[in-house]
Amino acid sequence: MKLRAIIADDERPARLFLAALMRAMPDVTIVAQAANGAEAIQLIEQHRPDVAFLDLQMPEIDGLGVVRLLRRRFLPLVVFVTAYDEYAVKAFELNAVDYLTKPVTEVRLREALRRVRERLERQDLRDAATTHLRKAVDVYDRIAPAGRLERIPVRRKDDIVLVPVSQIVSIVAEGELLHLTTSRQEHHTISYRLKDLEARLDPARFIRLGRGTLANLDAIVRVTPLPGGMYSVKLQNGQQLDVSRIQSRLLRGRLLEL
Amino acid sequence: MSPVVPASPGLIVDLLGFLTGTVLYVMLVTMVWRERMREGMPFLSRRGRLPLLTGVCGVVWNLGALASFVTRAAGAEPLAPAILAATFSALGFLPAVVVHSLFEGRETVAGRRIIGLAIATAYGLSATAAVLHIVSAARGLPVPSGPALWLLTGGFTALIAVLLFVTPQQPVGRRGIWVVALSVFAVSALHFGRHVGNEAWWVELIGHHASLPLALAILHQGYRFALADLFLKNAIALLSFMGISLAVFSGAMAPLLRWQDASGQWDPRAISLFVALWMATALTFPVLRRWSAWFVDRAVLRRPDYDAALGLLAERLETAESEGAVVDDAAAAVQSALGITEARVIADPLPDGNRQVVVSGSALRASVPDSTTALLLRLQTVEAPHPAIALGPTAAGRRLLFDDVRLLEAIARLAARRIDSLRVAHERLDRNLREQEMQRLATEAELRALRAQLNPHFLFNALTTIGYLIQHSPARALETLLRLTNVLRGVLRRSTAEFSTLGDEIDLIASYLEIEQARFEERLQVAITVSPDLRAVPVPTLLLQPLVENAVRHGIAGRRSGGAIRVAADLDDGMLRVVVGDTGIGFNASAARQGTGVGLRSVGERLRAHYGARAALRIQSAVGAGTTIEIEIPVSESGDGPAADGRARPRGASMVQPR
Repeated sequence: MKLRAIIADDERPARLFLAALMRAMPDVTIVAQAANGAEAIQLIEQHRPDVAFLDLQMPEIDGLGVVRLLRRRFLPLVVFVTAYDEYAVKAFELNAVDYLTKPVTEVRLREALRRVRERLERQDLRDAATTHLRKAVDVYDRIAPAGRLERIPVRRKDDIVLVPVSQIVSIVAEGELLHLTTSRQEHHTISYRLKDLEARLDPARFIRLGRGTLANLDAIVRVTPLPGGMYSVKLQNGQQLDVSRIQSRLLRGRLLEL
Repeated sequence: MSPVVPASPGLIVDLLGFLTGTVLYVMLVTMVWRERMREGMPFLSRRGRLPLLTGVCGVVWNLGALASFVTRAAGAEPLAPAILAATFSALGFLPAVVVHSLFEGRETVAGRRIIGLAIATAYGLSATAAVLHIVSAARGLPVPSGPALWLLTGGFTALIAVLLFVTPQQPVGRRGIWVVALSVFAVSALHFGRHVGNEAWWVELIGHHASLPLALAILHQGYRFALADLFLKNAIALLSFMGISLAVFSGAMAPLLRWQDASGQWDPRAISLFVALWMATALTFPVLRRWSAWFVDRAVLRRPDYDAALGLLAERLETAESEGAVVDDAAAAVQSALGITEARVIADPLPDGNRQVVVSGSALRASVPDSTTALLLRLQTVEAPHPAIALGPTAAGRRLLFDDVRLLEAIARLAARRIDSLRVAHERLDRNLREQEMQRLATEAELRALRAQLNPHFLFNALTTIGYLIQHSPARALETLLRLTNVLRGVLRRSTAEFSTLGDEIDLIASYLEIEQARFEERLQVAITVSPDLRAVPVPTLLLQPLVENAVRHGIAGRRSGGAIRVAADLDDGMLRVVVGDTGIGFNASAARQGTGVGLRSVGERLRAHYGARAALRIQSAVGAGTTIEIEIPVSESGDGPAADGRARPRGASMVQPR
């Protein structure tokens, strides 16, 4: 049985280099190549490959973003590819996630494919790999110096939508999911930890309202005091959110003092 | 014209005997004297005085006897009685020296008094005989004096009996030697007393030349004389040569001598044969010398084969890989060859008073055999430390003789050279290791410098690009590889210099951007517009490269559609302005305030350090529209050091906020 693989890299030379290496191997076939993260998600869900080779650094949706946005049942075995990213390497090694460094060598590629095959043959290993992969993505978010997010990629049916951060009015956590509401009254759900997302947002623009809520400062139109020193805020889209006791004090300092 | 004395065997034996005796004793005196000179011993030093006395007495006796014999044989006037008296007195002292040498250095032996008495008696007998000779000579009585000779014969015969009684602890062989020597002497003195001049040749031989075995016996008493082995070898070779010559003469030459015709002319054939025989005999001497050396080494001194021992040591040293092993091997060789009871290795000794240091030159200053002081064999290596081997006394209790010391020196030399070569080899190895280490450190330092300037991402992505190009377009792969080489070398070279020229910097970033273009392909557009006139303007090294790197990372890599990078420079009113712009994602005010990235911050710091407030760094950025960085630095008209006075100013470069 030939392994069915997808390669995703925004740089054509790097993608073709890896593809050429793989074509020389008889036991693997490339079913599709993606030039960016959104394409990768679409192609993976379309072709349902055994393994996806995801470049870590891609514009807008990077390799980790692809893993985050893929529906759980479509998630293939993943091998990350990176030129030099010490945080990623650390996160992957901590969680036994396969990765390849650029320029990819034949020996490493063969080894990665051998492990993929091993996991495909044993369901328990495969489940463990999926768990590890998600954990590694979280670890990476925590340890990597986060760049400012300008747009948040979200799924909308089969599409990936990039939501500008400036349009987001509130972010509400529910379990492992985050519900985003935009100024245009759109609702999106992403799988992300609120703490990690908050770290990648501009603190001058977003404010914490409670343990599970973030709001865009520009979107707050009214603040209503509640009994007990707490507040309730109303956002420009009409959304009403309560503010926790601790955050109320901070809110007062930032918004209500002239 | 004196009458020709008819040749008789006795006559020839005497003549040859006295000649040989003279040669031998002169050799002995010379050797002892040279030894004393070399060691700077005082004239009356105890050491070596007996061999010297023996030699002097022997020379006087043999010369006197030879002269007397020649004058008598030539029918000339007999020698003056005084000379004869001196000659025979010298002969008379020889047995006393033998007795003395029996006990020299053995004062601790029991019966010291008896020994002292015996020595005194021996010298007394000799002295009395000498007085008697002199008195005879003075009174005109015949010399040698008959009573004196009788006295010597009787006296020394009695002394032999006494000595045999007081030296029961001596080995039989040794006792045999001196007993025979003294007995021969006693008998020969008797012979002189009744000498009439026509005895059989063997009687002449024993009677006249008893002093030769005496000399050997004296030398054998503990080898007090360091050159004893050498002397013995020479003496034995000489004596056997004499014997062979005599045999050849009486067997072949004597008949030849009769080949005269009636008119007394020599037959030329006889002369040729005579000369040929003489040469053949002479040629045997080296062989005799070797045989006698072998005989003395093996039979008399019972030495092992020193040459073989040296060869074996040399062989073993070749495989010795450490100094310790070399010294151990040398110590073992010394111990087994010389029969030394103990050989201890001393790492780096300081010569001290108790130990003799054996090195070339003072080699013969070896300790006396029965003393407990150890001998120190120093391995004279080129450099300190000089390891040494402390040697105990020999098992046989004899002192080290000439050849022993020569062996020690050879061993020491062999071991020292091996140690030298080991040290050189080790040093070379060490140096190689050090050089490798230095090389490694240098490479590491270079790599660190490189890493500080170049994002590793760039390097690995460039290599991946080259890998792709090798597969699809080898010519472009080579091109890109050379550009990468340019960039690496450029960055490394700049890591030591503070300033370079705008032209060089532009070349560097052009190479850099070309590599990135090969990576991003159509997604990256580059426009560099710098007038050639400005290429010579000095600028701080690697000032633009971080800006370009940022532009690629934020402006291009983060956008699916890519973008353009623009580099431009112009000179206006003494200020050089360089602009690096991209059409990338841009960033907003708060990000700019935080200082985007290490690269931009370090550019600002370096500008401030070089130019103070006269330089400016301006950042313009808008989200989604890209970023433009503008640098302004002053250019001095003379062009000599753009930072001549700027460095002193502590002011920061102005960081202008986005407009």
